[in-house]
Amino acid sequence: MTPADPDDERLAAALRALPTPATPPDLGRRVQTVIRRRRARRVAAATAPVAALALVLVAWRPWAAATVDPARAPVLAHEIPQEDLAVLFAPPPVDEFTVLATRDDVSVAAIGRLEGVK
Amino acid sequence: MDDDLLGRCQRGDATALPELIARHQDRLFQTACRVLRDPARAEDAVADAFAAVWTRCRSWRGEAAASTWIYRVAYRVVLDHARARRRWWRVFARPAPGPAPDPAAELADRDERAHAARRLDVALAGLTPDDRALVHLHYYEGQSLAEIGAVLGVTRDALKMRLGRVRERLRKALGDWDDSGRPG
Repeated sequence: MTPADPDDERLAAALRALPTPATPPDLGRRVQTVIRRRRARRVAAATAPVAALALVLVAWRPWAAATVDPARAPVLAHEIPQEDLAVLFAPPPVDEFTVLATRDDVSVAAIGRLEGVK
Repeated sequence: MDDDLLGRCQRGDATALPELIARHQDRLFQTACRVLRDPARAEDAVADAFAAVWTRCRSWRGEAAASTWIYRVAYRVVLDHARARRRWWRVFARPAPGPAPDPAAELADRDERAHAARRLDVALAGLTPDDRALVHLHYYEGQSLAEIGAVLGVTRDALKMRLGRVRERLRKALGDWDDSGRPG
């Protein structure tokens, strides 16, 4: 439907008579600027999660090192007091009389078994 | 010609875009000015529209003519600008009741044609951006409803109803017109 009605034609003529501003001469340059800005925004949006992840990893490492279970942490020798080391690495305490008595009992038992065989 | 240029844009040929802009910038800028009623904002909207044409050109499959597709994309961008403006405008200001008659301007403006033009401009300001686009495309550019429907994505019958309603509003706003196009 094109404006064929006389009222429509008058309306169309009145509309065309309205002043219209001229097209800006540097529109092409502005379009290029908008495209570049959008591309930069897209790249930033794509790299932001990776950067955030890297940041989290960097921040997390010292925190993770600080939370090692103390019971499982390796103890270094130089951290143990000298007197404790002497006790730790000393031979086990043995009563000499107990050893002799045990040896005698074993000998007597063996002789008894031999006499019993005869 | 437009089909060829849009095809080159699809292949990433950056030299095709300036040609496309040169071919369509006047018409798009006039439409944006009519819809947004502000040349500075129309310039922003048209720059965004051509950027959208460049970034979305791969979605053109050739079902519609290249020029129709370009205007469809551009029209949506221009309307987005109009809606964004309305959203902010509602937050910061009351809806404008229309410009109050300025007695000094009335006295100065003896020319009836200029007076009629101003009344028409005020009447257009009272329309929605969609209706202003419809009026511009139909009366200013002389496009058929079928062509406008393809660009706006609206059926011909729906456009006919809208146009009838808008025409009545404009007639009421303008009052009676004599044969010379001057208000009676």
